[in-house]
Amino acid sequence: MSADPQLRERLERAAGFLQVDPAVELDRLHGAAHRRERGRRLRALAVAAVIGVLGIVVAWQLLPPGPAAVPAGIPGGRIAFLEVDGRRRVVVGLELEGGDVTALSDQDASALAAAWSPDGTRIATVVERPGPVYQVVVANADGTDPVTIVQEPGTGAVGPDIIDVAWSPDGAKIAYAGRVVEDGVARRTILIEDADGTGAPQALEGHWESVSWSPDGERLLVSGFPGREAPFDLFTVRPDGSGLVRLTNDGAALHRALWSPTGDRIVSFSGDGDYALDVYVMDADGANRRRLTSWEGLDMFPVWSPDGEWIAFASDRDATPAQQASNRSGEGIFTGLSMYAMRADGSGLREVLESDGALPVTWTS
Amino acid sequence: MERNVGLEQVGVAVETRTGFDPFFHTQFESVARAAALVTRDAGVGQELAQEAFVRLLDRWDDMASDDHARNFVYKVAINLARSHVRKHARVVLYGLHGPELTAAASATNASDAWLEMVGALGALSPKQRACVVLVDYADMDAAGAARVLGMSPGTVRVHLLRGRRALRAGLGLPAKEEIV
Repeated sequence: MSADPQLRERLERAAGFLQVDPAVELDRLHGAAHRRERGRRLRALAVAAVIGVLGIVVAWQLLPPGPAAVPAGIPGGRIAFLEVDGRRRVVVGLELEGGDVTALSDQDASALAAAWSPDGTRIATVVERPGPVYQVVVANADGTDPVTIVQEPGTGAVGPDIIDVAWSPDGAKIAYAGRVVEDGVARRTILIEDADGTGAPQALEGHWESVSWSPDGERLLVSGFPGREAPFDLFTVRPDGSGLVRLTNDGAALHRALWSPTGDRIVSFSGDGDYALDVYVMDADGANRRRLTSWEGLDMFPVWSPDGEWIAFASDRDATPAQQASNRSGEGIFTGLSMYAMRADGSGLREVLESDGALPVTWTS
Repeated sequence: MERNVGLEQVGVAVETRTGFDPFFHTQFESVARAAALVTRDAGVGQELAQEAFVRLLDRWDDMASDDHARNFVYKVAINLARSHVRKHARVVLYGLHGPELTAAASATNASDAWLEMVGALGALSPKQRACVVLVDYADMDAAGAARVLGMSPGTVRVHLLRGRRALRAGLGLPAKEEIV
């Protein structure tokens, strides 16, 4: 990657005002180095004496070391994440091996969600354009040849009108969390459309805000509520709207729930009613829910690795205090969110991408 | 007349290592300027460059080449600069000083170009600033900047993309969309 010539010229011109005399600076440096070396020798003598005594005591008490807990490397593949830059969001693809990044959504639009197709050759993105107009766009995996399969004018209700998208396992259908207007009232729900944009979308009953397709294609995992009022829980339902099954019954407000690729677990994130958000995993029937993260700030937007062994998520745990304070205030856009990965049992946490705003949304092999 | 072709001309990297003092003479000013750009403070940049070169002197015998030494000294200077910015941000957060303290303190005798740049760099996060300075000022590629900053090349590219976008906007340069 080469330098931006205009920026280079401006940076050089600006920095040119700082003039130094290398000879003077070199004298200063040698003086400082000499003083530092003298101090270091004195400290080393004192420290050696203390260490000698402590070393005997500690060695006596230490047990033989057990095997080191070295977490295995996260699997490769591509993670698409929402790059949050102020109020604008772009879907960016990150190659985990090599670190190449590619913008996958139109940079004139603000992205809201994305999902790789099951075979990883295409990506569906949800974008908001001025108007507002909401679109579901299907493109090649590198973002080329985009085709708009859903286009809806804004309903005027609070918040974006399309906020989630998921592929059927056979790649033929796309489910998205959109809105339908009935008797002048906008209702958020799941709509199912052919992946090539033909046909008319079919809407589910109820109020649903996220969708994930089971690996066998038989059911949808949805978050929301079946009637007109909260509490907000997890359910599964057949794509034709029949066979609604409740998974949780405590109004835990588990957001963006995703079925694992093996179909036996669900990952999601939820708040503590105050500020913190944490990642949770449960069995596919909603039982055995356990919290995987316990950072006092934001842990959100978990996604499964293609093998179901790892979970990537966004967190502000390493953000600056100013960014964490801004997030805690609840005013403005969340900031300082880097991407992390952990094993599906919560162990082996590691940073994947240091960023000011990287929300993982989909991971393919 | 036979042309003298050096190894560089046939694509073979030649590793050379000069003495510390000549190296200091050729590199100190650019390292100080880079640190000044990241901290937006000329005085602080000079002090951090001094500290980086003192640490380099300690490790000089371990340096395999001038390139190795250059990477090391940039790594120390830029990381010190990022720490300085983070500490300063904390001070601002806790209300102990008003914002823009260091930028204002370095403004005396500064050129208009410097003041304009300091203002524009204020819109970048410390990481974005470091990436832009290393690639667009210190002439490193993304992989080199990644080694200096201890980030992945992908992370550097993301920060660079955003940083350039913000810096161009701050300097009144036309937007330049790019996929890095």
